[in-house]
Formats: sequence, C-alpha cells, structure tokens
Amino acid sequence: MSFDVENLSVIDLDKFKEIGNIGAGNAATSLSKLLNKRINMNVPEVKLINLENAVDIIGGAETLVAGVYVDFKGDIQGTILYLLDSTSLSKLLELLMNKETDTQISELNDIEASAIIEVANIMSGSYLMALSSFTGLKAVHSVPNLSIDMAGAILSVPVIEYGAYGDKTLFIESQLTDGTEQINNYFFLIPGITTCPVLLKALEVGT
Amino acid sequence: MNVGVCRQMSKKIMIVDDALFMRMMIRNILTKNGYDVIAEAENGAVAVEKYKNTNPDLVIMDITMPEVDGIEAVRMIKKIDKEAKIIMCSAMGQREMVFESLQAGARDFILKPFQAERVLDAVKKATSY
Amino acid sequence: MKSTTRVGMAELRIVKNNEILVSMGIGSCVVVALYDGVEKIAGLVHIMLPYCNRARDNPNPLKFADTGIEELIRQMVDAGADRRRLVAKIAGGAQMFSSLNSFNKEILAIGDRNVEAVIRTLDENGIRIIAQETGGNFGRSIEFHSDSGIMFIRTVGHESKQI
Repeated sequence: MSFDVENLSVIDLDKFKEIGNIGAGNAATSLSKLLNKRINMNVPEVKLINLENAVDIIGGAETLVAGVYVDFKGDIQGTILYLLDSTSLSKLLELLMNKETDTQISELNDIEASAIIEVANIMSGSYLMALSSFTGLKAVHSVPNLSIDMAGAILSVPVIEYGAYGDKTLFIESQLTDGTEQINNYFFLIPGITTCPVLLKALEVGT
Repeated sequence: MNVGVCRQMSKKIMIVDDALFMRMMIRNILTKNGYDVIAEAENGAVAVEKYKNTNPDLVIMDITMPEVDGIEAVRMIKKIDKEAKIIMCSAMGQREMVFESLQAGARDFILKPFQAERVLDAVKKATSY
Repeated sequence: MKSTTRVGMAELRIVKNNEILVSMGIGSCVVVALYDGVEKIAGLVHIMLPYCNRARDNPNPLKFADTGIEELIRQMVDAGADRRRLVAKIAGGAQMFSSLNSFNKEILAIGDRNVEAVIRTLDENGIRIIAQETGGNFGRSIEFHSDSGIMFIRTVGHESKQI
C-alpha cells in the first residue's frame, strides 16, 4: 500500500503543519538558547513540491547553501535537512563563536563546520523529542552530515527519494528567523513515505 | 603556592563528542572553572581506548557518534572499570534515551543545548563522591 | 544572444539552431546529452533514478535512466537526428552526503547507481559515451551547446570544465 502524498486532505495537511509547529517550535527554542537570542518561527508550511520546483525553495538551483543532512529511524523514519544561505551562515557563526567573521561559506574551517553541524544536531534532537512527547512515536537521529554546495544538488537527495513513489515531495518547512532577517534558516522534515500514514494516525483525535 | 586548594580543582575530565565545536565549548566551561581536561575523544571507540590510557575522574559523553555510540561506550567503560563516573551530554533527550543511559551506568544526563551552570552542577555532583 | 532552455529533473528537451540546453544544481541526478554533430541537434534528459519499475501505474518515464534515454533517442530521431551518428556526454551522479553514518545509505549512494544505469542503457542502445563527468561529492551545473556539441560544467570549489 503506497501512501498517496498527492491527494492529502485539508485535515491531513493541517496535521502535518502541526507536526511542523511542535517540532520546529522546540528546535527554535533550542536555537534560541544556543545563540542567546530570540528566535522566531514563521508558521510552518507544508509543501508538496513538484520536482521542477523543489530547487526554488531556497532561492534557485544554484544558490550556494550550507546543508546538513540528518536521518532518523524508529517508530518513524525520514530525513531532516537544515539549510542556510551564506548571509545566515555568517551571522549564525558570529553568534555561536562570539566574534566577527568574514569566512566565505565555501571555506569554513573545522571548528566552524563543526559548529553548524552541531546546531543541526541539537535542533534535530529537539524536533524529534517534541514529536515524541506529542505523538508517542520514538525516533533516533543519525550523525549529521554537512555539504556546502548548490541548493539544487543538495535538495536532489530527498526529491529523488520521493521520486521513486510519485511526482511530489513532502516538505514540512519551518523558517526560523531572528527578526532582523539576517538569520534565515530552513528546517525541513521530510517524512519517509511509510511514515506519513503513521504520523497522521498518531494525530487522530481520540487516539 | 595556594594553601587549601579545593580538591575539585584537580579533577581530571575526558570529553567525548564527535563535534569539535562542542568539545571546545565544554572544555572552555570546565577549564575556566578549574577542572583539568586530560583527554578528548570523537567517538565511543576512541573514548574507551583513551579511558584505559588516561584514567579520568569523570567522562562527559555524547550519544550520537560514529563508530561506537555513547551508550555503548558507557557499557564498555563500565566493564573495564565499574567505578567509572560518566555523565551523558546529548541532543537526544527522549525518556527512553535517558533511561537507557542510566541503565548502562551513567550518573546524569545533560540535555543540549545547555547553560554552563548545568554542566558545572552535574560535574560537581558527579565528582563529589 | 543564444537562447537557453532549462532542463529540470525528469525533463527532456531537444534544441537546434545554436541553442543551448542548461541544467543547474545537479546532485545525484545524471544528465544525458545526445548529439548529432552533422545536423547539430542536441538533446538532454535529466534522470533521477536507475530503472523504471513498470509495475507502478504511469510512472514518468523521464525520471529513469532506461526509459528516459530511450525516449530521448526516439525524440531525437523524430527531430531529424541520425541514430547512427548519435554520441553521448554525461554528467552528475554525485554523492552529496557521506553515507558512512547514515541510516539511509542506499538513497545517498543513488548517484553511482544512476551512472551505472545510464552507461548500461547507452551501451545497450549502441550509443558511445565520448565524455563523462560523474561521481564525486559536489554539485554541477551544465550547459550543452548545440552548435559545437561542447558541454560546459561549473561547480562550487572546483575549476570549470569543458568536455
């Protein structure tokens, strides 16, 4: 039985949005603590993205981004993708390291790379923990992986995974900002195709 | 020469985390407060080896790491030294994780992101007996 | 000013008259360019997965190396290309993230499998690959020029190439 991602009801979309809310809300709190700064979260968007539009998510196929890839397994499985553009990355590093930096996004040193990876690690943990508290569904996440490259190339990974089943990819997108629009990071939860129904069921009223 | 140097000041600690950034952060917190960071490890396997060689008073252990994860490393270290003092420090704070860690022999669980005080409290408690 | 045509994931385009085919941000996908150097007809298919599982209802054939390439050949011939003259240039099939610590090693390594499927399909169809820029762990953007048959490749952090 293949879950049909393309014909989600309004209620289903709402449920996925709620998952985004809960998970990213907790992730935002974590980020806020890490940076000692208030982090706001825009209302999560559940995006069912066509193949050809996937690369437009973060501004175009060739936009240089830092992408951290984490996968998770357990009662639910899937992928988390944490994306930042150049400006946001610089600003984030400044806050984490407590000093000005003009490092080019493509020339991060070991410590800077490690810092971004750790941010993704912490946020992923928070996200999954919140989900777990709310739904009872447990998952552990993998050691994160960083790639600094064109947005299209990085996004090709989850899009291909969904491509095996259909023509759209389900992204639960949360945009976290510090209110000054300098830090715009995208936290994508891409549930595995078999996990979608599991998540929806867990959010059924009365379950 | 300081008379009456607090015994805490010479506690030897090993930090285990695959993130260089996190090891640095924890090291800074500890050394600023008089602790001696005698070793660092980037995964559970290295942690076990270094434990054998350096015999720290306390280990701060992450969970999500390549090769050998933190909980497994706790078990392995406890086998070598059943008195080993280990506190977990991880982004994965689900109840089951905490439980499994404590069952494996860890004494405490610090959830990331943490405030420096939380780390210092946990370290003080764990090394005081 | 030459006109450019974008070829996104699971798409196929054919051009002539000095036009240029463009694919940007190619990660684990593979772009397969076919060229008839005499008629100067260029075609590109941007595949995502190795083999079409025909058991699924109506899958888009352009997603897959086997069906995508076959469709490209068919359309090139329809457009006036001579099948016996067709040569191929391929690019992409990178592994964007290390799968060492991942739970999902298969998907992360799909780039290699895509490249294998492309090579095999072209071979089975008697089309020679005259240039290849595949693998690695970085993204690529390409331009394929129908006047010259040259493929220009751009990456982050590496030198641009022509194949």
